[in-house]
Amino acid sequence: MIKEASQKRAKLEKNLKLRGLSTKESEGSGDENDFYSVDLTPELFTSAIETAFKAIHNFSKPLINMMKAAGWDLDAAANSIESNVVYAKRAHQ
Amino acid sequence: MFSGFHHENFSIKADSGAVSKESFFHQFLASREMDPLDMLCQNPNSVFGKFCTSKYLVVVHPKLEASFFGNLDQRNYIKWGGHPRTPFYQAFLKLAKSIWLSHRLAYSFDSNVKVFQVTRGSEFSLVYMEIKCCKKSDIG
Repeated sequence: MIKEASQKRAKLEKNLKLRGLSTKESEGSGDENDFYSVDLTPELFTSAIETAFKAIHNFSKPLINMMKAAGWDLDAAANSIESNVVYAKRAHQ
Repeated sequence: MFSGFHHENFSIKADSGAVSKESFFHQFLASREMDPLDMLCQNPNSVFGKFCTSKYLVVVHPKLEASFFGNLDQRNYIKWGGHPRTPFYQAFLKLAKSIWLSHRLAYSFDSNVKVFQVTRGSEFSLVYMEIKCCKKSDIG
């Protein structure tokens, strides 16, 4: 049992590593191997959500800059979506 | 961007019927390494393509777009099912793909995911909270 579990763990760690490198470096290299070695685990989901979270952030940044450049009132815009929010830091808006 | 996440079809109207958990996972594996624009070039009318179109039109307000570009050309192009190679749309596609992948994966599990939201004024215990918004150095 323990041996099996540790094997699974090693496999998972390998997968996580591959994912960390993924998007840019692993394009076209060993994809097929990769394909079958990925296990469906809650950790995989957590990492997908974290990637999504970063992607939201990465899209918001240029969007906010473009809004600033186009002369938008960011405070008013944020308040129109959700009013009366207290932000710990201005940047969180 | 997440609206409709709790529906198996992500509220995208598609002809295809029910999709099995295996094929959700298969779609996840097949597309996670792909460039979203390549995915759309290969199959512009795919469910993913429809997802990108509908989300773009909701997330990017026409007034916003008009103020950025001085016109609504890009929007109209997208409205008619196009996927322009503009930097702005490509930036959006990266976001769209990451949400799409999360959704594919969410429906790969045996028990369906549930989305829960916290209403304003709810109490919470610090013990169960994890800071998601910033680096540790930003706090305080």
